[in-house]
Amino acid sequence: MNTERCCWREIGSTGDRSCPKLAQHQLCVNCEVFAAAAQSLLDRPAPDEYRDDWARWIATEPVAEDGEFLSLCPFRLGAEWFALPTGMLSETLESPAPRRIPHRSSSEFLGLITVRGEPVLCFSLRSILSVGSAPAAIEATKLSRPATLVCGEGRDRFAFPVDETAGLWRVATAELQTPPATVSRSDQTLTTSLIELSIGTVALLDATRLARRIERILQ
Amino acid sequence: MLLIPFRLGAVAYAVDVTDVHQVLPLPRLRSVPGAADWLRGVFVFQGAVMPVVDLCQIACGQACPELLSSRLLLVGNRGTDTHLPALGLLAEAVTQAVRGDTVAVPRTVGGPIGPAYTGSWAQIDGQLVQLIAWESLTTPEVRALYQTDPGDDG
Repeated sequence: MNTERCCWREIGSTGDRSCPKLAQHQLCVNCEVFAAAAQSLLDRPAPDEYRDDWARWIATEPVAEDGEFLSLCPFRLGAEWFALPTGMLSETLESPAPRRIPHRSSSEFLGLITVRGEPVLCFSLRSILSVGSAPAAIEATKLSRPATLVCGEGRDRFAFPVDETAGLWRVATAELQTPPATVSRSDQTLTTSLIELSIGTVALLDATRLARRIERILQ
Repeated sequence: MLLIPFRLGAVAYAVDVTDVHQVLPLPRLRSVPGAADWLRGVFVFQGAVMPVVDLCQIACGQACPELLSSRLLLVGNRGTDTHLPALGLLAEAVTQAVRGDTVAVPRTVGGPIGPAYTGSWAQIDGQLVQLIAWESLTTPEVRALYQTDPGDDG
């Protein structure tokens, strides 16, 4: 171990790449020397605070969770946060550029993208929901990473680009708030409920109504 | 089958994951004076006192080192009405769960090989490991050794 100490920094993928094992492993993270070094980090004495913290943590009984829970995948369009039930989503992609379809592409229908070798229709949720773009100040402060979410299954799959995703959240259905009447009575609305998360107020979208709206765009 | 491999001294052992409730880092323990030396101590797990059996002490006669990789395997009481495991086993180098294949002991051998707390055999990546028969550590005779013998005090 000592002779190979930090070899990944000297001859490995972050060094001068002269290590003969790179031909087989490509990157140091795939190499058994690197794995052994990672394991050896655990062969340190356990600090006292660490053992006390764990003793305190495991002494208490887990809080029984009652009520129903919902898994959400929040995403940002412009300055607003929306969410779809996680079960609706099948994939998150690094935004591929949609291929426009002559005479069919519009502001709402962007075109086709390829997902694992299969063509998937790509829509602009921002234009379907009439969300403006975020002020440049917001865009600059957020560590935003655009992504494209793939929604639905089989032949009914569609994709839409978003400005940022925020992982998956587990929320109690009791925490969902009904949206104000001005929003919920509108025929055009896709919002079923609102929820306060640490990232802001998130509008939960109705997946079936969204799918119906998308069908109408294609007709 | 999926196994959690570990070391006791320099020898490789494993437990079947289906026996394991939870794998915990070694928490601060309260020692039990006068009990058998392999009873490393007790700690509170979800509101109940849980004994910790030091497998290193049993297998190679020296206490398990207090490293980050020395962890507790909570075993027992699977499929019963209690949500609590029966005991915690302390072992070295508990860092992964891997697939292994069982290796049968030929009938000509005529019985189990090794001490009572060990059981069947398995192979992980070509390395032979023996499974821990932790049930033998929950018998009333073994539990009696948890108790302090008043004669030891004097």
